[in-house]
Amino acid sequence: MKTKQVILLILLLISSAIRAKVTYIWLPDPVLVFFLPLMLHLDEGYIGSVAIISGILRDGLYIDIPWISPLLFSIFGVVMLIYRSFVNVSLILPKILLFSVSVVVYYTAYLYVNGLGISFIYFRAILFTIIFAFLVELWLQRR
Amino acid sequence: MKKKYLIYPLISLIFFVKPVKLFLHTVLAESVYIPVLKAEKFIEEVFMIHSEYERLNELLLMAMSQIDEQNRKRIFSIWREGLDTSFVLARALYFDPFGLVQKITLDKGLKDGVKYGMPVVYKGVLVGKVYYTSSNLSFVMTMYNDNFRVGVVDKRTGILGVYEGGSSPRLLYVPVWADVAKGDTLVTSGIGIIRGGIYVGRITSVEKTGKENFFYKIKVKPFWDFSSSGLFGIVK
Repeated sequence: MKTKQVILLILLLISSAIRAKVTYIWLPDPVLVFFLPLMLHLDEGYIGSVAIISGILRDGLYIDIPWISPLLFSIFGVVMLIYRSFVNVSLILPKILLFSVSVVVYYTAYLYVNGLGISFIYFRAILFTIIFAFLVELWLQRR
Repeated sequence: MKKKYLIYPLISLIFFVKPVKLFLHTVLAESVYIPVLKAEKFIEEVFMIHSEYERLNELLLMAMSQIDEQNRKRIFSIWREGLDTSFVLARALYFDPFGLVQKITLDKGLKDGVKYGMPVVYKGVLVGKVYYTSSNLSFVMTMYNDNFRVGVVDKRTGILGVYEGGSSPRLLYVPVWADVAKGDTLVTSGIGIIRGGIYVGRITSVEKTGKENFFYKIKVKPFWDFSSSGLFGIVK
């Protein structure tokens, strides 16, 4: 693993643990911001475990809600493995498309499972999550 | 697509099972979430302490100014209670010189019972003392007069000293081991002809003058503001 990936991994785990308690609906989701770019670059041997651990940390504080993040994160991990083997992910458009779909799917599923329902007030959080994930991806790609 | 990739989503399905969730939740709570919650609480407390500190500071300043004001009012009301018997109210006829007033001529004299050495107050604080009287006038030596002296006591510690007037008033004969500090309030000591408890001034600086010197060099700012005028009270 490269240094940047290790830094991102640490940030991902810390933000997952913090995000379990600190929730602001108008702010971008830091877990997705770190998770999505990391999945595009991480070796396939680590993807599953990182996805599951960060997912458990993300949802593990509350026992009454279904822990959907480990499942979604591991699915995203697998999808990205497949995606990056078929598509040139160094281009901007495929990355934005992948991030957008992932974030929208995650938010929809997460809000639905928590009984909140998708609403326009989450639009800003979704948008900024995509933008920040893209910026982190640019930083990760830069040599 | 490799089949081994599918194992991760399948593993994550286990976390929907209640006992597994409960076990993981317990482990995570002890190892991760409680430290996170403690850190969050600590940060909240730091912010709270900071805002509480500022709020208390404001309250302290307000309380100090109120106490100061109340003290003045209390002293003035004490004087006012015995107005008929112990006070002679007088108007200033002349200030000598204008500016840093050293002498005041008042419109009450011997006929009104004013005698030599009586203290003169204005709004509860000392102005000076009568040094000469005629039948209808009295002449007051103010606290800014070079020859004015009065025995005073530090209200906080009870240290005695002598207030000496002039353009730069001083507190004399306070030994270097005495507990006096900047901001202490001075009142008349009652030793001598001027009665005790009249507010005189506040200490503005305390300095040691040298190793051999026995006394502090203390500067005092009198409470009496010579720029305002009105009815003066001559204390009988």
